[in-house]
Amino acid sequence: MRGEEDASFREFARARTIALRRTAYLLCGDWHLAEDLTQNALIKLYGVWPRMQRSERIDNYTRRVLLRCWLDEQRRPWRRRERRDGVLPEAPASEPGESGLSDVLVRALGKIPPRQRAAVVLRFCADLPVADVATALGCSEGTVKSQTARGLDALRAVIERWEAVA
Amino acid sequence: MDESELVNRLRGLALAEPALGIDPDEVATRAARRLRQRRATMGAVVAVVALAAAVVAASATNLTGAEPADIGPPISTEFPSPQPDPTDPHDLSGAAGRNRAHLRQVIGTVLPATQQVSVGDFKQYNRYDVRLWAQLISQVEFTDDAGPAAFYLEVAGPGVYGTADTACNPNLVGRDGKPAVEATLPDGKHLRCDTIPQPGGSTLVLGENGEPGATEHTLSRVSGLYALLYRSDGSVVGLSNDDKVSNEVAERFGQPNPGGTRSRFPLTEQQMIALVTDPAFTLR
Repeated sequence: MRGEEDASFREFARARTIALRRTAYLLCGDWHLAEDLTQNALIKLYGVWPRMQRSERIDNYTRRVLLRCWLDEQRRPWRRRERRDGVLPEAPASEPGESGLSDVLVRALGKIPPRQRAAVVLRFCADLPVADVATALGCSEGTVKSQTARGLDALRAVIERWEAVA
Repeated sequence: MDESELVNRLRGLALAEPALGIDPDEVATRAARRLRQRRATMGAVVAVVALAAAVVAASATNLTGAEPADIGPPISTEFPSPQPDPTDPHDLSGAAGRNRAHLRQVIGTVLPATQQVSVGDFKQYNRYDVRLWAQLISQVEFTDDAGPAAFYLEVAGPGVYGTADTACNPNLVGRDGKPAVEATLPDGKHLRCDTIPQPGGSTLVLGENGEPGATEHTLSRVSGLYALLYRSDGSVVGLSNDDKVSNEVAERFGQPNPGGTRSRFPLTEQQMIALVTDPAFTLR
């Protein structure tokens, strides 16, 4: 990779890392894993950067790579085991009400099937149009709509079940 | 909650994001180094293939009665294995190879009644995670009289896990700083977790894994066993041993009905202990 290509990649990475990590977090529900996924996606993107950098679809392509990394992570035989030392990973302070609501939604997202979760996260949390979600997921727009609808139903069912128990 | 309310909540989801723990420039530098390494490996493969082709061509010429060619010393056509990068302190490829070779050597002794044993590569899944990079995991597959099975053996360096004295602590801190609620099985019991001191200062932890129940804090059944050996140097060897059979594993062993659950766990407690207490599994 030439010097200017490397420089443009670094600029892209600096600009997108936080947004990518946020999307990754909504998919996996773990900030540390989200950073792993973001790094893996950026490293994979680096290999194709010379031919992709000027593409209008570079953001969609990057999201697609991130999704692939996360789906691969789902298939891993041994997922990251929670640290057993009783030490919480650093959690930022925030308004209790807001944090509680977000926490419930993020945890509920973690209970629905991966592809439905991906569709819901990209469509609503990342606010992407259906066509962009379809590109990122590598499926038709019709599939995005059905996955999104099923994902919302599943999400609602999880939250209602928790509310009934609480 | 109706659908529009749910969508609005998702759109307005406010996350309290922690400070970024990765440096995009450092990631780019690693990516560049990895790309160079991959190209170097590909170059080596191409060179080996070209040499092999030259040897074959020379032999063919010889068979047709032409002048014998000077083909030089014999060459290796073995695929070049990834070479450890001495400049990268997070590169565990050397240890991965050694652990796999050792596991392949001992597995027949530990599991004598199994067939078609396959020992997977020790993979370093979290290479770019500053906390968890020192961790190698191998998947072992086999079949026995209870059908296909798989278990996972992990070797972790100091700092990846906590300490043995808190491994079975039921009062772990849960989400938002609240005490964690320990999940219960249908009979009201909790999952087993025993801490057993070993000679030489290490500690063995034997525990059960559970399958999620109908609610967040319930479990439907015990689905597996795990063993963790906390060594005195801080490293940990772990083994996870569930009765579930993935579709991939079942298909590899030609099962007509993929997936499902075995009638017993793949390894007995003694077999698990034999593997995790083997001192040859290290990251050095």
